[in-house]
Amino acid sequence: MTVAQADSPALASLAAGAQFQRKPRTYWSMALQTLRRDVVTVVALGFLLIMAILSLLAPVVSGGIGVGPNDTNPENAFQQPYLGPYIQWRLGQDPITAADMLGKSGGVVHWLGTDQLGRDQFVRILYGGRISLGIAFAAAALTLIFGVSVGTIAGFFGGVVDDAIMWFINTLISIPGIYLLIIVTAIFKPNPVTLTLFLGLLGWFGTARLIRGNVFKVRELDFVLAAHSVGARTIRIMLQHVIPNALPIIIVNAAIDIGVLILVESALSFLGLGVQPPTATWGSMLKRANNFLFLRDPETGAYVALHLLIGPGLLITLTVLALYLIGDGLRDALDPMMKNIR
Amino acid sequence: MTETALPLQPGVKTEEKTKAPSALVRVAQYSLVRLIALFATVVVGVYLTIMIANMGGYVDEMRKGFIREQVAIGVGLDPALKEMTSAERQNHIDKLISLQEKRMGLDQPFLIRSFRYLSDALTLNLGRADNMASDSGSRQVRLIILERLPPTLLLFATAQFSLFFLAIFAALALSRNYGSLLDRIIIALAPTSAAPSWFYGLFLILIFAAMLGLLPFGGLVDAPPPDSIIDYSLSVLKHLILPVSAIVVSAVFLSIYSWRTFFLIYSSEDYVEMARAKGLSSRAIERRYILRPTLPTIVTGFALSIITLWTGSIVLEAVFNWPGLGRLFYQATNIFETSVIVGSTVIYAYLLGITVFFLDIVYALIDPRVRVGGNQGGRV
Repeated sequence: MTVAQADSPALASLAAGAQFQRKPRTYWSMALQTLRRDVVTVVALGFLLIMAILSLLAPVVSGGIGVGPNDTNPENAFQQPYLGPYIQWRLGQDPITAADMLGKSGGVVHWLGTDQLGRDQFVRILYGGRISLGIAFAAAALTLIFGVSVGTIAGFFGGVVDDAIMWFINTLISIPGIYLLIIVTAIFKPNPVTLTLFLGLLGWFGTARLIRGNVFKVRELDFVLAAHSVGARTIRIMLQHVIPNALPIIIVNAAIDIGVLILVESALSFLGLGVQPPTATWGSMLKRANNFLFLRDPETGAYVALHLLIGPGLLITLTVLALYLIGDGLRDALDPMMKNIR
Repeated sequence: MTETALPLQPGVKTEEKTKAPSALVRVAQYSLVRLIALFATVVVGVYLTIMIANMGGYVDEMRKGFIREQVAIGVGLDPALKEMTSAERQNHIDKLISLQEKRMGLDQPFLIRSFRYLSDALTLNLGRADNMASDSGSRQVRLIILERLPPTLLLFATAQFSLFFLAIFAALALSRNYGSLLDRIIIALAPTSAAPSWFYGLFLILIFAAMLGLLPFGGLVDAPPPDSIIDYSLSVLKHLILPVSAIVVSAVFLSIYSWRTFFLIYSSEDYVEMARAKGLSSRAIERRYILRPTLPTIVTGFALSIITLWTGSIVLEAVFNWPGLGRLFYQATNIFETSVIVGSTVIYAYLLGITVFFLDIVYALIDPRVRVGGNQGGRV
């Protein structure tokens, strides 16, 4: 605008016109605007938010249904989901099945059916979500803390420090994490807190490498030099200039990391090495479902346990997919270069 | 990068000829340095595994306790020793225990033993398992692992080859039809690769084994195994379909997507435009102008995907009840069978190291831009 003003008075008067005056926008408000236009990411964010809220409200929901996550009812094992018969009943097609199921369960509505001990699947999924999502988010936070601090130190100081740290990271990263995790979790049967610690402590190598690369780029920039020249201390430069510049990378990395951690937790639970029963997690519910997959009703010959797999399986899929899409959308939104393309 | 222009200049050829022997020395030097660096990594990784798998020596305390119990029971049941006084008997028991501990090498401190374990592991002298046996009844860790290796190799080689070639050819086809409906569908499906193969395995089992009843739930062959070789291999093939499709489905869309993008970048290079302008057929353009410069990356992708999928095998093998190395590792961790854990880790580390080593060499051979040893000191 200033250029235009300098060039010609006509242009200057045009630029001063109200329709060309735009409020100055910050980086974050621009990112938010891009994000708002991205339907897929918004839907994914919404889904994740709903899952998180439902999981947090699990005690309320379970109180409303009238059954706890570990309440057993052996009389009513492997009940099919109530959802289908309920809809049929409401549509007036089949009034018998729904009432029959309600009678069997003693008036409790098992929306997603029950498992081999007659525990309510829906309530267990919500409680499982608390553990699975909680572990994944907390472990991702740990990963970030370790990864960002080690990566920043390695990238900022360079030289011998960087060589030593990178050698350490490259050695550990070449051992597949799942092997280490399996050994560690087999030895110390973990509870949610220790499992979070293991996942966080064994998962930060990749993040550190990513951050280090970015710090290398940033520390050569002029504003860092300027900060040095006015005598800013190293720690201040790191916190004030280097880390904020890596923030987009950190955020995108975190979103995808959480999805990966959910899957790792499920994999460990699936092997029986995660959080121990009877605490429900999505992974341990999958394992249970897989054990009973072959089970048939002795009279009708129909498989009775398939619904146990579908619930947690779909939820893990959707959650991980949502996190992946959010990471993708954030990458677009937080990349200033993309603004020119749109 | 700027050096790539050099061969076009006149007079460079003669210079290259005189340089040839030194280039060979350089390649050898480079390989040696890489080999040493990789070996150091393998050693550290294996030593870490030994320390963790032994819980820093705690497993040996368990083994000592087990020996004590066995000896005490043995002595208590031996009628010839009934006459002994309790002091004599205690003495006898202690003697037997120390004998047995010495036989198993448990009398030395753990730190010394850990280095002996390390050298044994690195020389593939894997020893005997305490609580595990191969299906043929052997307790030799080497035999246990060798018995589990073929199923793993069968499954992952099949999956890997089909995935790789499917992805490359589909990507080439899509890069030819950039922006078509199929292209857009594949791109939309790319996020499905966020979930790992075992996850798809569960759903494939649910659909094709439980709901449709077309394919078996898991395992390597039917029980009882068919007698004739043809029936046996047909049965193995039938059991192979689901795990292989799980691996392929879990990775194929993302890899088609990334290869397609990669080919698209290369097919807009100036020399490709030039070839088009010359009127070359699209097959010739693809073969000579797109595939050739992308070859190093394709080879890297191939080697890396082998490494990646090897990692995912533990849970996938558990899902499909596949009698492979991954499940062996998992079973061994559950009963603290240190010898098997360390054994399979060593095998894995060696395979990984060899893959990376060959990758480095092949990369240096097929990509003229990699200037081997130009940077002295082995830093790549």
